[in-house]
Amino acid sequence: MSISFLSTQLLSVENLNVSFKTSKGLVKANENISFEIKEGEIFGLIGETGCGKTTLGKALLRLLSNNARIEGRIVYRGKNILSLSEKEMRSLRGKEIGIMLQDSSICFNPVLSVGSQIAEIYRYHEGMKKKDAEKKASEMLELVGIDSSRKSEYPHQFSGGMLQRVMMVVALALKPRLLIADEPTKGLDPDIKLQILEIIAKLVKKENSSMLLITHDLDVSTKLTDRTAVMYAGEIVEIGKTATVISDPKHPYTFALLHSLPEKGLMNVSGQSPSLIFPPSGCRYHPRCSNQLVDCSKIHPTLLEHVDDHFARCLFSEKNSKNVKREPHLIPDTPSPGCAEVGIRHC
Amino acid sequence: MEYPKASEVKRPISENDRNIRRISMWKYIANRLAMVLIVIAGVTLVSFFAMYLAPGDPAELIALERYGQDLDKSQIESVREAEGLDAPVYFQYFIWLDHLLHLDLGRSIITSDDVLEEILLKLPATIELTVAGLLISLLIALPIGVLSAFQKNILLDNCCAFFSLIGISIPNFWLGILLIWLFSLTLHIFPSYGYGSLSHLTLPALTLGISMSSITARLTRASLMEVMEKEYILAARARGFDEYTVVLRHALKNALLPVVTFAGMQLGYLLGGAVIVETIFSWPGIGKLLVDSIFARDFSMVQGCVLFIAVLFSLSSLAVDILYAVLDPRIRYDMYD
Amino acid sequence: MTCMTENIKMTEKSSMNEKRLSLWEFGKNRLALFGILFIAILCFLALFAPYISPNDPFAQKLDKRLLGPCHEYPLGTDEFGRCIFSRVIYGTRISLGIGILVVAATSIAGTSLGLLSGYKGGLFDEILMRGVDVMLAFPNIILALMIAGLLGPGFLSVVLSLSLTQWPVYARLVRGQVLSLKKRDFVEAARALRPSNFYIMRKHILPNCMEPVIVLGTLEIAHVIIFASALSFLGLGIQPPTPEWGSMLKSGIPYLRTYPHLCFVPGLMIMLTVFALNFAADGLRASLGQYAKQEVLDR
Repeated sequence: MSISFLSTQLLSVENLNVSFKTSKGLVKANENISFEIKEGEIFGLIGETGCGKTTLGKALLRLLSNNARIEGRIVYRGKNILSLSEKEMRSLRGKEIGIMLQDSSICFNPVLSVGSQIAEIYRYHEGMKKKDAEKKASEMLELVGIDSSRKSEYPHQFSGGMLQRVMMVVALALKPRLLIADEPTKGLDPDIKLQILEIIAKLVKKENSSMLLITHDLDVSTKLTDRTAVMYAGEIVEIGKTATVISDPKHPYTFALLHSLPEKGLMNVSGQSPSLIFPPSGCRYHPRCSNQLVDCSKIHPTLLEHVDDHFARCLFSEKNSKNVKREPHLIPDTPSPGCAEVGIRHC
Repeated sequence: MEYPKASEVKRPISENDRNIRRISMWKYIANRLAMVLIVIAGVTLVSFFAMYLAPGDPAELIALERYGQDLDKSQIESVREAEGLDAPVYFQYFIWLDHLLHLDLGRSIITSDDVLEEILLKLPATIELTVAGLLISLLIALPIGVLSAFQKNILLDNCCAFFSLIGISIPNFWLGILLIWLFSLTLHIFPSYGYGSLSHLTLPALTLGISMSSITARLTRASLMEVMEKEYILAARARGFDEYTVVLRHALKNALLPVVTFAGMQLGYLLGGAVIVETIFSWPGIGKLLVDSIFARDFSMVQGCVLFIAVLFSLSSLAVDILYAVLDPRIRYDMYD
Repeated sequence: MTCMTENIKMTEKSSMNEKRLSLWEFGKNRLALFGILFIAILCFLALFAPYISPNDPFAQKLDKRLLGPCHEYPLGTDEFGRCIFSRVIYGTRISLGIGILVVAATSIAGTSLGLLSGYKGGLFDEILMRGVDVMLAFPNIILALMIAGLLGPGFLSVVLSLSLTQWPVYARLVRGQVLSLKKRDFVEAARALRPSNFYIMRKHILPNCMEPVIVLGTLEIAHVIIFASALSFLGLGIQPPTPEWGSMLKSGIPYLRTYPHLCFVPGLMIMLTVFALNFAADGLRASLGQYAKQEVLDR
């Protein structure tokens, strides 16, 4: 708990732009993304499918396909990831930053046994002997509640929840400082979802690592994260401490998302998600917004601080709240107290 | 997608489960074997009844071959009786099948040689040619396929694609003639026909190999590129492995699986191609025997050759399927699941 | 409401764009364009052969044997003093004719059998698929060779032998397509309205199978042309003096050392034709497959 006050910046993303050249046009998957993750913090990134959050997760490790263009700065412990050589990058991947990619069922090599896929990480990075590596792999499997006798089996013989846990083992095998978890509970039963989340949170806290949790599941995010950013159409529309974002959303999209939760009335967010090639003019959310102003279709709002450390990108909120500090969101260097202790509040 | 049940997740695996899985592997092989047997039964049907496509009375045709142009009716009738052609057709089929089960393919109408003996005599030459052709095709195709899959240079990649398209488009009889013209008639390096030494083998094997290699190269490239797009390759990169490890350990085995299956199909193409190549280069194999027998209207020999080639092909694709099942753990259980 | 209509307009616009782009893709693929152009020229040659060819393809002039290219004979003459150029032009009629005839017959037969087999399933499917397996157990050209050999040489026997052996490819392809389509929601939905099976097959399943069948058909024309000329090359197909590329190639072999153009001209024609058809099929595949490709961001 004492760590939280000393917490320093682990990763910061500054004005990140990611775009893809496709036959239909330039897809602007991420625009002007800025946020930071502190040591020991669990940071949530929520947004609907197709809003660019997975792209963001992959961009942090430079895992995007060749047609992607990345601009801006991603600073990890003082090093700009985007200017590292491929070799330096490799030493970062897995060791410093681990990633759990979406859909674990396709993330394992189908012709190699699960155990050997875990063991090879130790053999490659830590130069372990085959036997030691396999022993270590068994230990890791037991750690997430999988019988180690199953290590000689192949990915297709595992269920979705188990693969998810193996995925976790793989991502955390080298004890990275930062774990990027992309939809770790996608397609799982609610009861297994909880199990998985508990294990992740436990393991991350144990190593005092940080985590970037990418999800479209608001429920998951509220239960697990210290701070949350809400993404819409490639932009961050609201960012702040999870508790404040949930209790007092400043952006109508966040508001709509919150009210889509079952306990808040199951109201759906009306309309279609926007195209990232031809995003709507002005505020990107305005075609679906219920609080639309005249200016919304013309002026593209900036991310402004409404309350302490709580930023939102909305003209309506700007007008209605008096204490908006008219300063665009860059990198706030004030540490947010008490992030780590929030932990898994409702789990 | 089916969601796993909570009870299932924590279930420890018992020895019993393993047995079921192992049996299913055998079950898979048994299944394939049964399928091949059915196919072979069908093959015998087709090769038997195809004979009835020949216009005219088979007894008369045989008698014609045996006794020359001026026949009288009694000669035809005696042939009919001797060959069992007076019985109903289905009855003839079963008699033929019975002989077949005793490995008796009958005797040549023209030379009265034993058909199976004759075929087995020619088999080594055909196997020699096909294996050499397969080796050459793989030697050409795999490096080209792998290189062009990772080729950043668009021009070079396009060159590979272009040559492989030429390879696909060039019929092997035309390629054979080109090779004869170049290496035999112009450069005088290799003989254009004959059998016995390595230099005799070179041109026919090259002809077979080159025309096969382009498809294999394309397949290798496409399959490797497809695999490299897979999420588990990305996942392997995310674990910090270098490109060498990613390709060799994670991509190549997966990518070569379809190539292996294709090798089975390729064997069929090679056997079929061997017919033409053997004819061009006067290579004394089954293919040449078949073509010669067709011209000689030696029906029983034709039937024997076609049947033999089809059965050989079916069995080799069975072998490849089993090999595939051993290499790819997913296949084994697919039929069981 | 306005936002709804806007959205609909946008999707309409983007689908229009897709169509335009797919054609553009096709044009960008120059080799495919070359292929189609070459096939068009061949068709033209085949249709107007009597008007284009400078000489009678059958006329033998023994005093003008084995000439090189000259003014009267653009590609020289063969061993009987016949104009090679004219013979090659007449040869397109036979090769294209066989290719189109066989592909038309086999694609219709194979597609309908595959459609029925995939849709009906059951015993019919089982028997037909085993039949297909049996047919495909005869590698490559062997079965056609046997049938053509038994029927005796000639145009009809080539067409018949190739038609009898090439249909299974379509049946297998279409059956696979139907099986995957059958599980799709739109077919299930159409079924819920209980129209006749024939209606569902014609309206919902067949149109969705057509793209791969067209691509396969283009490739198969190339295959059939190779097989037909191989049969003629072996002496089991079209017989001389009829001008056919395969048999021209064969009769040129004795003169390969001294007069290679006798072989080269028909050989190159076969190769270029097959080449063009392969490119066209490749281009078709790329442009038809455009709808299937979709850039998915969040994956």
